[in-house]
Amino acid sequence: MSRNISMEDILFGIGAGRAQSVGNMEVIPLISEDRDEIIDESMYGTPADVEIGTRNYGEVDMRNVSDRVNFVPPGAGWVVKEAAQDHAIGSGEILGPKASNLVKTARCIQSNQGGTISKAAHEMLVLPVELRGIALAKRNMCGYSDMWDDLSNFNSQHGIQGFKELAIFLKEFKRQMDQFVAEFELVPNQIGAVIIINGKVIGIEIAPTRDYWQYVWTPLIRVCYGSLASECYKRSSVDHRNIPISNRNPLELVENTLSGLRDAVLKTDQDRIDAVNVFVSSLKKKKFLVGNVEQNRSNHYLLSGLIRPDRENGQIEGQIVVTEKTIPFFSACGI
Amino acid sequence: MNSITRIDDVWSIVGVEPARIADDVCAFLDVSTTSFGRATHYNSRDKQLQAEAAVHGRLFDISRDLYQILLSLPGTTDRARQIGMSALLGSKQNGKECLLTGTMERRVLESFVKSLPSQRMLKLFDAFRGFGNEFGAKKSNNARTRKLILRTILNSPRLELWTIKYRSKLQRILSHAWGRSLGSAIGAVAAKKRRNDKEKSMLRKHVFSYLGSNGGKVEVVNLNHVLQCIAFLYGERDRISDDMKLLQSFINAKTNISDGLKLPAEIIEGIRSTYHKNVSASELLKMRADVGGIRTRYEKRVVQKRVKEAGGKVEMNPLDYDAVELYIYAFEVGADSEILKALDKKAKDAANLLPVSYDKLAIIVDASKSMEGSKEQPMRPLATTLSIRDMLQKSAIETRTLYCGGLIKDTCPSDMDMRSGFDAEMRIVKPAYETELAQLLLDALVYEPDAVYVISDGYENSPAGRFGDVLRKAREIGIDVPVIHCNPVFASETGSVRALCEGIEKVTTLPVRSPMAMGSGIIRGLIESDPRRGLNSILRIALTGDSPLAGLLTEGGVS
Repeated sequence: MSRNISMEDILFGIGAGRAQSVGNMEVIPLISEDRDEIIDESMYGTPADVEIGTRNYGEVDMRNVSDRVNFVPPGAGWVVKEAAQDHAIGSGEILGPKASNLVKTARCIQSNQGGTISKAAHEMLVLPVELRGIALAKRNMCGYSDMWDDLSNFNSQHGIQGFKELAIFLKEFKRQMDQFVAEFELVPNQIGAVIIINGKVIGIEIAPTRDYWQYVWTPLIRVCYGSLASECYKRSSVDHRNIPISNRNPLELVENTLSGLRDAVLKTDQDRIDAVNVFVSSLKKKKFLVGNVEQNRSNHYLLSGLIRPDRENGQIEGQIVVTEKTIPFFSACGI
Repeated sequence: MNSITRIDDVWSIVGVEPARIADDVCAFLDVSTTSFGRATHYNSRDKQLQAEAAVHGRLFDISRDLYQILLSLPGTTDRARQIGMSALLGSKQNGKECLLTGTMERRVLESFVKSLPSQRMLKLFDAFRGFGNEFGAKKSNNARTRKLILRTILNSPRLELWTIKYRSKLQRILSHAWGRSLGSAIGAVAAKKRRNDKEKSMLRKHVFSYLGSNGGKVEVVNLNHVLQCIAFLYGERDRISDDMKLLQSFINAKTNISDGLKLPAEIIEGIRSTYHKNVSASELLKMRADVGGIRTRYEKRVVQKRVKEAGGKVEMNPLDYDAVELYIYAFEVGADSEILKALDKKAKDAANLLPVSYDKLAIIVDASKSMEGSKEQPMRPLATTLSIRDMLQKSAIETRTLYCGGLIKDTCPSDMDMRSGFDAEMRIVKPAYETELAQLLLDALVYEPDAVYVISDGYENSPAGRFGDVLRKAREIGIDVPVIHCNPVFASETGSVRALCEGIEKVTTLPVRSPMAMGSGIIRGLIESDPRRGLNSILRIALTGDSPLAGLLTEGGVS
């Protein structure tokens, strides 16, 4: 049975910040405005409080060490330094205070390495957007090795042949990904972002708290979206006129003076702000079509769903966490 | 090799056209003020070292004088001086062709050695043994190298401290200077209470001749001090006298940790973790703080927070730290009026070293979120930015400072005596928000300054490239105010620092590491645009006035 959740509800209490744009990638920060009134941030921990380890191949054992409810985002992965097979999960996970959970549908993302990951608070990443969708689609199936071909294809697309592992990609593209993290900046009260590449929405992320967002910002922007952005950048020359949020409109001076230049800058800035507002308004009209509840823990419900494609954007798939009254978590992406 | 001359007030390099060497000089200034010989996102360490060595080599080949002069500029990294010393000691000096004679060069080298922190100095000496490829040093044990090593080490008032802190390294260095078997013999003889004539002669020749200025008379107490340190290094530790307090503490701390509380942190921590496992690291820290055992500048700064948490207190003198360190401290612990006064003084001192001054200056400070830096060096970019801002504010009669992003940090006391126009409230800002510099550039241009300084990491995102768009338009409408972009962050993707815009006239991007290094950066910009004037400026600054090299030239009789 499916039903719709309006994006207006998902974005309730959330406003848009100033768009940040570099090259073909834009990020519209989502800012908590009135959201504090409905969501108590002290209820939620961050992924930093989650210890993970692997018992067997394809099984990730998680433990929330905080006394707050916690979410592990869909597509979370752990590439570790120790001699152990790197793993990732398809579905997000709700973890109650001090709760543990064994995910038996995890995927190995490193074919040429044996060994299990010792349980600790390992640094989390989020799979590149192409792989994240695949992992999400396979979230209910067991099979630790059935993303190896996908990894191999993914690496091939990025010019790395013959490797069924994510670690090689992270190593090869470290420089570009580090740069992307540096290019975009967190703003105060930020709890999410809309990510746009070549004028097309490829991700909408909303965290339960500011701290949570601060934690997932780097994994998201660096690996999940940054990798795709750098790849697109190489493939296509960007025509800024095709980008709806007006990445960088040309300055048109009415008067050839400093004050004329100031007017031109103010106008393009206002155009950008207006464009963002129009964009967010149109986003709020969209619906997130969800299926059945997949997890019900600590009075939080996890559901998977999608936003249907339209003229400008492709299909966006992801997951949402709801309570009786609030929507603390949303994460969806698509190419 | 080409020498440097002065005719009237114009300094030049004989037989060299300034424009021809401008690129090499600029490359050298980039390397000498920013390179730390580490791997970057862009290049492996080996590649970095090769490039660095090539840049040093090219300048050295142009002129040995110029090479030393540029190395002596304020803001030169320790690493550049280490490489420079290796190059200078590894090749013969032909005094006839050079402005700096052999004696002067020796004193230049001594001044470089004095400018290095102990561990870097000893690392350099250790590299002369010829192992590895550190600083491009080949095995070197010529008379000049040997004298430099032995005079520096044996004459140092810190010899006893080095003896316990750098035991193995110091022993290796001495053995290299003396030769392995002679070193062991000297060690054994140094430990003796009674020595025969042959042994006395050995010590006279290989130890005492290096003590005191020009091998002059040495006080007996110092002599004993030196001999006991040598004996200790060569393993003769049974006859250490009571007045050798550090050596005694080192020996006694193994049985009683309280005896070693004034030893350097790493030494006593090593002893604790080996011989006193029941004492925790934080307990030891508090014990050391209580007896005044935290003594180095660096440790005083970095342990403040931990000592405070453990209930202790460490006294520190803000004037002992450079401005960047003080800002980092202020971000970590907070700033009182003493720290702000020290920052004020540091800014004035640094402004006095600037080769340019202005009537009216606009300063754009990037305090956006990305300026908080990396996990490895938190807050360093913003700390550098704020210290450069302070210096620039002191270098002009009138300034206007504009901030991109940033939040006011509530650590500024209201009783500070700020000079007119100094924006006290924004003294310490926290990094926040996106980078939107274009609007600020317009505000700066409206002010009609002599120059606009932009201190930023060069990552503009709201949107990227708008700064360049605005400046290009400003140039089109006839505004040609110079724009100097000071960048405190090395950008891996460019192999240097990231520029805010390219291809626009009168825009210079300078890598900056500290206010003291700004002078080199500005001169670099000058050399790029006007090589003759730039080189003349750099030589005049280095060779006249109060500079250390000017003192050497006067003593050496060169006019």
